[in-house]
Amino acid sequence: MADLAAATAALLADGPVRTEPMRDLPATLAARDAVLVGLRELVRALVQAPRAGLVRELTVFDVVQRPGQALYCRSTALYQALAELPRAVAFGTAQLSGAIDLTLADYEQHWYRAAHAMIGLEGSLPGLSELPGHQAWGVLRELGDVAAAMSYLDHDLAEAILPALKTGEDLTVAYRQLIAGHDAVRITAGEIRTRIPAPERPVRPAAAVAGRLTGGGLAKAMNGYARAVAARADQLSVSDLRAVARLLEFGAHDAVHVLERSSAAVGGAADVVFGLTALPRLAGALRDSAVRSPSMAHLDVVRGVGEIGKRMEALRELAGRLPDGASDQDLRRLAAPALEFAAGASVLTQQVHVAVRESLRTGSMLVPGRPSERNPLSAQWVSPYMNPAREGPPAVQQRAEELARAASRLGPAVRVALDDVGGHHDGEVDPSKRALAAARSHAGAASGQLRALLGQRITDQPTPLSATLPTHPQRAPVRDNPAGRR
Amino acid sequence: MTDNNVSRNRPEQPTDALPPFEDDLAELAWLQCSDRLSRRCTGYVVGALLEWTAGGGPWPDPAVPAAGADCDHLKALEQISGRLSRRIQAVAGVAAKFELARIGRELNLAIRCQRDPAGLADSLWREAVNRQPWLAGPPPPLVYDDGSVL
Repeated sequence: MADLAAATAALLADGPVRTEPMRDLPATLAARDAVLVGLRELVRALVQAPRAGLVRELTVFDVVQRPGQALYCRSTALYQALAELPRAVAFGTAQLSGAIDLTLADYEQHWYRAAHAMIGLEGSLPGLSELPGHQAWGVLRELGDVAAAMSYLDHDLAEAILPALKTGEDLTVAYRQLIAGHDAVRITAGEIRTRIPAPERPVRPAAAVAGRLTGGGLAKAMNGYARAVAARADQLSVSDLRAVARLLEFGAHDAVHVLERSSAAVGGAADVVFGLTALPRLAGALRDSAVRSPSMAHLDVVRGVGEIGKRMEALRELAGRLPDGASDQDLRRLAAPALEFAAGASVLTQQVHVAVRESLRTGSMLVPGRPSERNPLSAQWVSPYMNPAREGPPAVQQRAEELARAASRLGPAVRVALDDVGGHHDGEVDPSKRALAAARSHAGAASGQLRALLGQRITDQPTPLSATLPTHPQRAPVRDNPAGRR
Repeated sequence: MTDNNVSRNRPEQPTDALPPFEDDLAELAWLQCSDRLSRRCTGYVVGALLEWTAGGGPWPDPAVPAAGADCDHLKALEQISGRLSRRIQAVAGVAAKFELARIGRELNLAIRCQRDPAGLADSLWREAVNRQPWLAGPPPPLVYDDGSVL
C-alpha cells in the first residue's frame, strides 16, 4: 500500500508541472486503467460487494443518508461510484510492460509504478475480507485517499494527451473516458475521507535517503535487459535462454560473494545472501535444459549479458581485493550495485518465466518428446501444447518457474538492504529528495504525504472534471455534457 | 559465417583435414552441460556458442565428442580450440577471422578457467583495470612544488 500511496503522491505532485511530452501514451493509459481496475477490486474485496453487473444504482441516499447509520453502505457506495468510472482504453488494446523504462519521463514512470504497486496488491485480495474492523476501516480510508486522487490524476492525464489529440492521434475515446464519471467518486471518497480518521502508523526516523550509493548504472542496465527479454515475449530462442540463465547464474554467484564481504556494514545483506544462494543452482539447471527453437538469437539479449556479466565479475574481484580494514562506507559502496543486481534479477526471472511459457505455448520453443519405440535413441522435438500425452509442464518451464519463485522472495530483503545502504550518503542531499525517499520507504510517511498533497491540491483546484454548473443558480443544469468541462 | 566459407578456404592438406565446424560446435553444445568441468568454465563455453549465434548461426544440437563421452573434457575443449586456431588461419577475410576469433577468445577463457581459475581472475582484473582505471582505486593526490595538495 505504501508503494501505491507513494506513486499516487508522486503523480499528484508531478502531474501539473510536467513539461516533457509523453512518449508512450497507450502504455500510460493502460497503467491508469490498471490502477482503476485494481482499486475497484480492492474495495470490492474489502467490503464483499457484488460484482459490477449486480450493483444497484448509486443514490444520494447511499452517499448522504446512509453513512450516518450504516458504514457498510458507504463503502459499497465507493465501489459503485468507481464502477461508473470507465476504462480509458479497451481491455487488451495496450500492454503494460513488466519492467519500467527508466528513459521515460518521470510522470510516465510514476504511472508505471502506480500500476505495478496496484498489481502487487492483487495478492492481498483474498485476505482483505478477513481483516478485523478497525484495520478494514484503515485500509478503506487509504483506498479512499487514492480514489479521491483519481479525478486529479485523470485530469492531469487528460491534459497530457491533449497535445497528441490536437495533432490528430486517435485518442478521442480515451480522452472522453478520462474526463467522464468522476462526480460520484469525488463525493463518495470525500465522504469517506471526512468520516474515517487516517490510520496512525508509526513512522520510523527518516534515515532512508536516496544518496549517491544507490541508483547507479547497474539498476538501469538490469532494467534495460529485462525489457529486452520482455520484447522477445513469445519468441525466446535457445540462445536467449542460455544467455539469460548464464547471466543469472554467475551474476547471482558474484553478488553473493560481494554481499558476504560487505554484510558487516549493510543491514539485511545476510538475508539477501540467503535468498541469492539458491539462484545459481536453479539458473544453472535452466541453462542446461534441453530445448530447441527455430528462431535466431536476439542481439540485445545475447550481447547484454556480456556487459552486465563483466561488471559483476569486476565487482566480485573488487570485493576480493578490498583490504581487511575497509571502512563501512566502502563496503556499502561495494554492496549497492550487487543489491541493484539482486533487485533486477527478481524482475528478470519473472520476464524469463513468462517468455518461456509463452514461447512454449506458441511453439517457438520445442522440448524433447518421448523416444520412439522402434528407435529408442531417437527423440523428436515437440511442442508440449501439441502433445497431450505429455504429463505436466515441460522441465524448462518448471525450472523457469522455480527460478522466478525463488527470485521473487528476494524482494523484501533487498528493499531492507537498499534502505540501509541508502541511509548513508556521501554528501549533502536535497531535502525534497530526502522527503520523497522517506515517503516511498515508509508506509506511514507515504500515506501522510499523499494526504498532504491531496489536501493541497483540493485547496488549489477544488473540483476537476465535475459537472458544469449553469450560469446562474436559477437556471436548469447543463445536460448535454454532464461529465466534463469541455 | 557458415561451414561453406570455412571449408572453401581450407588449406589443401588432406592429412590435416579439419572436420566440419558444425561438428565442433555440436561438441561444444554437449560440453556445456559437462559435470566434469566447472560451472564457470561451461559458462564460458556457453559464451563461445553465444558468439556463434550472435553472428547468425543456429544453436547447435549437442553431439558426443568423437573420443566418447568418457574422454577428458578439458582435452576435448583444447582440441576444439586448436582446430579453431587453424580455421582462423585458413579462413579468408578479416571479418570472418574476427568472428571466429571472438569464439576462440571465449574458448580460451573456458580452458584457462578450468586450469587456473585464480590466474584467469587476475588476468581479467588487470584487463578491467586497464580499461577502467578507477577500479584500481582513487588516483593519488597531486602535490605542487610548494607542498600544497590539490
